[in-house]
Amino acid sequence: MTTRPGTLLEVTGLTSHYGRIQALKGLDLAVAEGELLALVGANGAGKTTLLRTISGVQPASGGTIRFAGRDITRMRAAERVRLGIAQVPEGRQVFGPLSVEDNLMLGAYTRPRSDVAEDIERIYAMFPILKQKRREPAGTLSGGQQQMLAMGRALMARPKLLLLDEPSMGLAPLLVAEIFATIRKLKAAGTTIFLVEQNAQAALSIADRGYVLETGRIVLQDSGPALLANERVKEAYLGI
Amino acid sequence: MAEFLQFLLSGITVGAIYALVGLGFSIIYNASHVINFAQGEFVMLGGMGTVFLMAAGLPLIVAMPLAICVVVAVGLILEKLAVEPARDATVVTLIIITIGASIFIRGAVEVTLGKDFHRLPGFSGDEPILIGGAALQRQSLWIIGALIVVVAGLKWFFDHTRLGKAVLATSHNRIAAQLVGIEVRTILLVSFGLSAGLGALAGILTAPITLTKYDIGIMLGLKGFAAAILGGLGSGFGAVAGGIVLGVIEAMAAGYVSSAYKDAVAFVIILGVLFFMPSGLFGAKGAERV
Repeated sequence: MTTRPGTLLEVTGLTSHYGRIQALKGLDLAVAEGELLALVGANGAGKTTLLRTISGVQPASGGTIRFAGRDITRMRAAERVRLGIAQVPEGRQVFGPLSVEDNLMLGAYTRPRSDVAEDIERIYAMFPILKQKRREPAGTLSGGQQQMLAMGRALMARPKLLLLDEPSMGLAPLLVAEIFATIRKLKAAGTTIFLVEQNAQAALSIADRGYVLETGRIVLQDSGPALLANERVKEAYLGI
Repeated sequence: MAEFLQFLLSGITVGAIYALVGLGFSIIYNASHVINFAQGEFVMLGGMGTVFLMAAGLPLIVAMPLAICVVVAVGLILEKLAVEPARDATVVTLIIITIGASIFIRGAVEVTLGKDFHRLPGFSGDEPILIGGAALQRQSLWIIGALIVVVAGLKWFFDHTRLGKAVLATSHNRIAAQLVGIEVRTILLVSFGLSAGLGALAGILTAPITLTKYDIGIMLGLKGFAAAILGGLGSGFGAVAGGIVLGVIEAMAAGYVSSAYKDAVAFVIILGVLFFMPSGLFGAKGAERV
């Protein structure tokens, strides 16, 4: 299959299993360069599984994943990071016992050491609170600060594609707004973003395009505003 | 008093050996959550390797690093051929694999190098130093000094190198480590190599005192395991403290009660810790904020 020009990530017929349970049932989607794509769906629809499979920490049982024109379906997770896929995982997953600065430094594990200091300053400029807490163990930060750290850690890899898994989960409304403002800024700076959210309203209102995932299948796709106006989406995900 | 001092000195000496072995357990446990029951075999291989390299005519100063390198290679091969192919298996399966590997290594040494006891000469002679009526073996100073150097070296490795921090990150959260691009395979190799090297060092240092033999690893391995459990599995500081405490209790029990019960001490401690304080003296407590 040939990839359309401008397509950064292309997923075709992707399936994945946990033991006998099939979590992804033949999924097709594409993310274009520079685009902010949102994927919404209920709990258990397979959103997190999809991101884990794209990152390579969950094996694909069928189908293909192509990134920047290369087939990465069987590639190891660390190599995918090297190619430019970074993920902010669900639940932050910061390295609790290590300091904030060490977490950021490890985010740049695949990058030349000479870039690290400069990039850390870039992240501190984006999230000044992290600079204040640079020496503290990441596990002592609040939920919102951990979310910023997890995003900072992923950005340290200078990704071509940023995967965000439920960045608003468990955060107070004010912090959610701050996180979404950051996502908009990243997009404006040209980062390609694949955002997975239960907060469909917030996600679709900043997205160029959106997909709706139900029990391991894509059931709808359209532009962000169109999905927000879609009756089915309104009823199922927006509570209107 | 002289008697007490004597028991204390010999307790600290064996305790330092247990600490070195226990550190090996903790490093591999941290990286993989596997209890590597071949750790004792690394200890035996270090001692036996040095004995046979010296018998081949090499001086200690050459035989010792060479033996450590050989044992590190054995550790890497063990990880590559036995542990890595089973990486998707459960931890219990991996532990059983290490038990199998230890039986294999012991058997291979028994067949090729024989079943005799061997002794290395003390590094700076065998004349003991007298302190307050107690005799301190010169080798004890080497052992305690080596432990201090190893602990300082490990602290530097984990606090100040990117690889060391990557090992800590992998131990804390393997998935997140993969997501930042850390190769878990490399981390496992590093841990096995490091543990094998520490084990070999312990085996060489202790050979002038306890002698060495193809099956000496069983008991030293179990004692090191007891030290790691007592200090809290996965805690480096805990393994050192656990080793010293175990060594001293053992020496006191042997001195004041009966040397027949010496080995029982370690096992009573393992049982006691597992029953009453499963996370040991310095281990991570179960609860964790997410």
